[in-house]
Amino acid sequence: MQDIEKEVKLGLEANKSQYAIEQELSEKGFLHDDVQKAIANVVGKYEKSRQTEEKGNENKFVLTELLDRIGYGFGSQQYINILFLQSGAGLFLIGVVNCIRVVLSSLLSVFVDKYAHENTVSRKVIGMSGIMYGFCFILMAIARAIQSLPLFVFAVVVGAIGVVSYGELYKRLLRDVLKDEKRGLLKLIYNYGLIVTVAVLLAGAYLFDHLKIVPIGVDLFGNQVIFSVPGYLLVFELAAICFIISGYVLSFIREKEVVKKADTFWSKIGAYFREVRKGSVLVKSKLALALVFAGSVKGLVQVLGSCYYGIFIYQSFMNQGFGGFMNVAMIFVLALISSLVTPMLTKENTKAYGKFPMLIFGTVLMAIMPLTYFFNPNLISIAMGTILGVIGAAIAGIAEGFLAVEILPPDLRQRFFEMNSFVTAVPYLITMPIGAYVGHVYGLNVLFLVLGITLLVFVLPVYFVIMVLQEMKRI
Amino acid sequence: MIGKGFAKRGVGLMHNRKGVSPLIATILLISFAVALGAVVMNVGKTIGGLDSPTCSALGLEILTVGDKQRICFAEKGEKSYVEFTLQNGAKTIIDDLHVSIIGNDVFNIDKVLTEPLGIAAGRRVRIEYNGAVGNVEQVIIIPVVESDGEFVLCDNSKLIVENIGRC
Repeated sequence: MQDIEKEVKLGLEANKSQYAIEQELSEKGFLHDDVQKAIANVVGKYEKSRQTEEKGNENKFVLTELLDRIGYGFGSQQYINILFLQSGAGLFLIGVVNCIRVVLSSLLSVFVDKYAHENTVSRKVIGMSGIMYGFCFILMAIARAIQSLPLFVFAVVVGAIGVVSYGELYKRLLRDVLKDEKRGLLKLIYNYGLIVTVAVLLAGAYLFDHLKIVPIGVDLFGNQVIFSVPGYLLVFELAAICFIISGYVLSFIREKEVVKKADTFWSKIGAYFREVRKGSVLVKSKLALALVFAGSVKGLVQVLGSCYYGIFIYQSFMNQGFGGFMNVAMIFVLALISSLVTPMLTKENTKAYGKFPMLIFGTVLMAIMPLTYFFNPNLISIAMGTILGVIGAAIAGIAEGFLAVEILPPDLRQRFFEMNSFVTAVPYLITMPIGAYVGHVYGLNVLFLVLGITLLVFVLPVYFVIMVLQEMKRI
Repeated sequence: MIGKGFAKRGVGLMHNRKGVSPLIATILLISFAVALGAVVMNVGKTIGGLDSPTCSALGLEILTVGDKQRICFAEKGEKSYVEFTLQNGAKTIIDDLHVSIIGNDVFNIDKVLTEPLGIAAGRRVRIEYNGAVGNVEQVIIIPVVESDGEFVLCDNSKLIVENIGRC
């Protein structure tokens, strides 16, 4: 019986059907009943072990997803920017470092996605990316403690590499290993995971505000030694632990041995630059160029604004409302919650009103956010402005996607979606430092005014002109 | 014949389902967004906001980097000075400061700022004082705001700083 089972296993591993295996073994002289019994045993065990493996993988992904959400909550970008300021960085340096982070993330995400699509990436590499990202938080906390700007900058830049590699490769691993229909518990995390992020954001803010210095007593050789641990160190340690454990768990995912092309890393770099050069076709089409330009300016306003909104709220309302970090957390929790509702509303309204009107509406709503910080900076109006700004950004983003599909010719469409984030990010190398300089010299409130006006003066007319030209073409 | 024409037009009108043109939809949506913006720009203004600056709404402080306040003094005889970095809150423009530098003697000065300190703005201020003060033990900074055409000293919002290091 064992010989027959061995033959059946070999047949299944060679992807032969049960019927074909039965035929083959019967022709070899084995008894039909024995063959059928052996097939039932092996398939049963195989199925059981496959189900156990899939369940195990799903549980690991669920744990990873949960830990990631906790980690992103404790290590929110707003908290990082405020800590960077507290480490002694000026507003210009904060803007420049965030510019490097954003541009690096955009360039890397395209490369990593293409690389993973065509090459086998070991799950250990994915795990190491997560662990590296986690360690960056420890470095940031140390940099804050010793007031070291170079160390903080290093941690932020390496963290950007880590988070992009980890994120893109994790998505691909999930797609390859776990089919959609097997993601029961994982779907629950996707649907309700926001509650975890919100709770952790608030908990992190509480720890930042209320645990400024935590005395920890240790017995060393019979003497009581007291270490003063700052609250931010605890919070970032928690973020680091979450990502490190998450990366470690990923390295135990059981995956099928799929052998993809084994190109060298450097040949992939060459292929990447050839792909990037193909993206230049976008700038040859006036329509695509207009969309890319408007998208780039919109993106600049969002990215530059998000560098400084948290810092402004923290500095201006330190002794008001919930105080310090908690004010920042409350405002951005509202933003998170409003970002949930918007996609549903946008799709329905885009069908009713049209894509161009919704795109323009979204852009105007986006402009309200920075203008509120200038004209009426109090907690209530800032909260309302932030909600409108986030809703506007989501509306504009979704409508732009629909529009690109409708108005761009088929050959440009794919390039637009592939290369959009790359092409819009490269100009940030010039525009973001300029914006950071304005914020540093003239004050954050002036920067927010400039951002609001930029949207209304540069982006809105472009969309308006495209809309009028498309309407004239239709008539 | 005429009746038939009217009838046809009537039926045509009932089956004419043209919606709002994109241009009109855009104008309507922009108007709605502007109205929302106007509401947001005016919410909370009356809650100790910009229209009625009072001393209680101030948020003036000495900038702290790490755990150190950015204030120091340099004892150089007649050219001694105190230097500090101020950070204003988000509610009120501060028109001026009244500063008292206390050591062996007391040095008072009004009209410190060449221009008002804006909302959420920061500024480095240097005040020269005479050598009679000697070692600086305390600095008191009282913000001055304009209210109804008069300049008011906000004594309740004053900053008192001690243990000042040398520059």
